[in-house]
Amino acid sequence: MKVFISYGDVADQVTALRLQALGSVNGLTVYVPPAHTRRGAPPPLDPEASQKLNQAEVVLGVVGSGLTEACRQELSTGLALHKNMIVMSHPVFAPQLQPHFVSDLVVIDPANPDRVELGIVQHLKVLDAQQTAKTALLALGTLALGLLLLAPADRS
Amino acid sequence: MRSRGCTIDSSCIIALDHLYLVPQLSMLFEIVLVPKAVRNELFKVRATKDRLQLIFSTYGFFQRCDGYDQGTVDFLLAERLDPV
Repeated sequence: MKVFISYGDVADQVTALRLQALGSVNGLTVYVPPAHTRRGAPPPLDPEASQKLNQAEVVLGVVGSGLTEACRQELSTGLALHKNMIVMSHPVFAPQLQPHFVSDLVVIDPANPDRVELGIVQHLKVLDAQQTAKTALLALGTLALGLLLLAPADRS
Repeated sequence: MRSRGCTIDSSCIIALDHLYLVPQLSMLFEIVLVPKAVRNELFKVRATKDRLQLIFSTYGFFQRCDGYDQGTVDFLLAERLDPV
């Protein structure tokens, strides 16, 4: 199964790469866009990222430290392509994402991680997708939750 | 929780890149610092220069390190040259 991980900011790439490593050992082909797509002026969608996004069956958004235009574009494209999606977001960035990704957004509440997990499960219940895609989203979403909760607290 | 970082040298970069293990380094560290002397060494050869530039461009946790205490560097180098 092909998975596309769109991360919010350069600092979130570490979380995405960790998910890629964990996904790879479990048989998933995970693509993480290069860091240069998150630097400098907002470019049009990277051609390689666009191709990988087209091929992906599952799109996971990881927004913990920032939200760049490239990430927003990737997530919007994933939405337009009707991909199976979950966007895991730190509460700070939720208001920016809420209007566009209402049903796909899971806001991470560090005080209540069990509710976040419940949110992922509820989202998957209404998602019209194959069981393998749901399993991948549940596993990656749960791992992302753990990694974001354990990430350094000194984020700006 | 504090972020974990490390400083890397030329041989480690070459070996990890050769084994396609550079992204896996993110499992251990949030920041990997590449000192100027290491960059200069790798930039002497076109192949390693291109690889290092690609690593900087692809992985955000690889960062250039230019700010360090020269006194500490001299002390560590002297210790390496003159083991007791």
